[in-house]
Amino acid sequence: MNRLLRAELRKVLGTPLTWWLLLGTAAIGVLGTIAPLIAMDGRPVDLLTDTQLRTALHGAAGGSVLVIVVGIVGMAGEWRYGQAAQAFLTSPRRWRVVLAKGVLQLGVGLGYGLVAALGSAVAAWIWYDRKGLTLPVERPAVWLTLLGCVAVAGLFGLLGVAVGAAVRRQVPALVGTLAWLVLVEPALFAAVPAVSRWLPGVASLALRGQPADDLLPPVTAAAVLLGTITVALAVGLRMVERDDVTS
Amino acid sequence: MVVNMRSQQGPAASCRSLTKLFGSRTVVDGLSFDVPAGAVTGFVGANGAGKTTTMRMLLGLVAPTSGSALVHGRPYRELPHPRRQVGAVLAGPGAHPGHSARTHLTILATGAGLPVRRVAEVLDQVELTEHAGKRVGTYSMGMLQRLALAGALLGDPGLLILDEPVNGLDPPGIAWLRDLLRRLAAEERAVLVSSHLLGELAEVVDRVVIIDRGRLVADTTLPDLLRGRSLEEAYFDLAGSLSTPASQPGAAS
Repeated sequence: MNRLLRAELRKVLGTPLTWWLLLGTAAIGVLGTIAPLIAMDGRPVDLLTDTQLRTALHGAAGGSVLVIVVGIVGMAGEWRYGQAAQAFLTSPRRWRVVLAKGVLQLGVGLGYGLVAALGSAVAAWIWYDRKGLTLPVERPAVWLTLLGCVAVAGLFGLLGVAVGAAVRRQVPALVGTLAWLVLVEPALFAAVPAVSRWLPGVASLALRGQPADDLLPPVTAAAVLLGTITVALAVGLRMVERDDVTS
Repeated sequence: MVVNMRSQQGPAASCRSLTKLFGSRTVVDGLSFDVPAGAVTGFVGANGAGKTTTMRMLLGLVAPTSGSALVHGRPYRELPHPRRQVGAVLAGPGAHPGHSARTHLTILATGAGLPVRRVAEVLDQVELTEHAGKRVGTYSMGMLQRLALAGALLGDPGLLILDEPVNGLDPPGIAWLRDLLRRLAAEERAVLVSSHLLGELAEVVDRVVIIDRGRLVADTTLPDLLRGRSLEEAYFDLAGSLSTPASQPGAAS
């Protein structure tokens, strides 16, 4: 398994998309933090309330959006260029390849999350400083939000691998997943929040400390997300083990 | 030094009553043949005859519907060191176009637990060292085939399964591949190679397995098959069908 992990690490590090998306994640972390602060600027808003702190630091959540792309491309992309066949020639027990990718993308996701959290925290720190305030990093509203964003990014990396393994066609997997997370779930949450809060994307909002009503408690949200990943990974593993590799 | 895992006993690869159905369509139908060590075995058939599917079954990538496909006496999935025992060329090198050849081969070597110095050795062997740092996406067809061969040779395996390795090679490349295959057989390795270029194949193979519509048509030595004919004439005499089921859309070869 160590050999496969090292091979996967080389693969990820040698893929330009990894670095472009990391750059995008850092940019989203900064811009996603600055934008709400600019929107609040000039208004009679207390920037030090828990809600405002969470709103400001929500830019860090951007890391989890792009990392799911890395996870999906890392798994489903293997079928695009014939890399899957090469991987399974090296490790005919295919579940080991999927598992190695899952572990690695969990780590990549945490890395992306850390970059996004760092970008968000630095941007917020500078903004608060310019307003004559100090970002209260000791407050749970700050560090729990950042920690939640990092955790969600890691889990989304793993979720990307699970989705990629189940779908194995890069473009449909990407389009379907992003449409579901960015369009379908928010719409469902707006319409029927009591039910939709159990959906994985909405649960991730709770884990990331997004200030919104009707969200699950963070621990329950984490359980929902982990359950979703477990089911998706089981389906993906089953399909990868079962199906013929013809390309 | 790479530990060579060549099998000395029995055929390097064998199919027994091998059958594969995709849905209701029979692609390989009760196929039985052996691939001996120390020889180049040509695998001949029209598009869709079942060559690629058979090779993928030997490599554990496609599951047989019935029968067995064994390499070194066991299913590929059960090989302890697959890359050291079997090398394969499939459709292209299976490399990300954004990776360099060196990165691609290093990834393969790392995953298989092979010494990274093998990367430089096989790049040299396939005469790709000069281009090893370039992105695979910029490679010509011939360079892609050489890279695929480098991947197959990485583990210094005793059995090579090569699906259409001549595709994309220019005349000097074809001559180079012919020499390579002869050298590999002289080193007591087993080589199973498919090709549409029957004239080229006749220059290099010791044995010929011909299939048509998934069924075995001939499994013999080259001299026994030819008997004064060219390989192309012998093939058309035995298998002549050009309209196979897999010429149809969606069919696998």
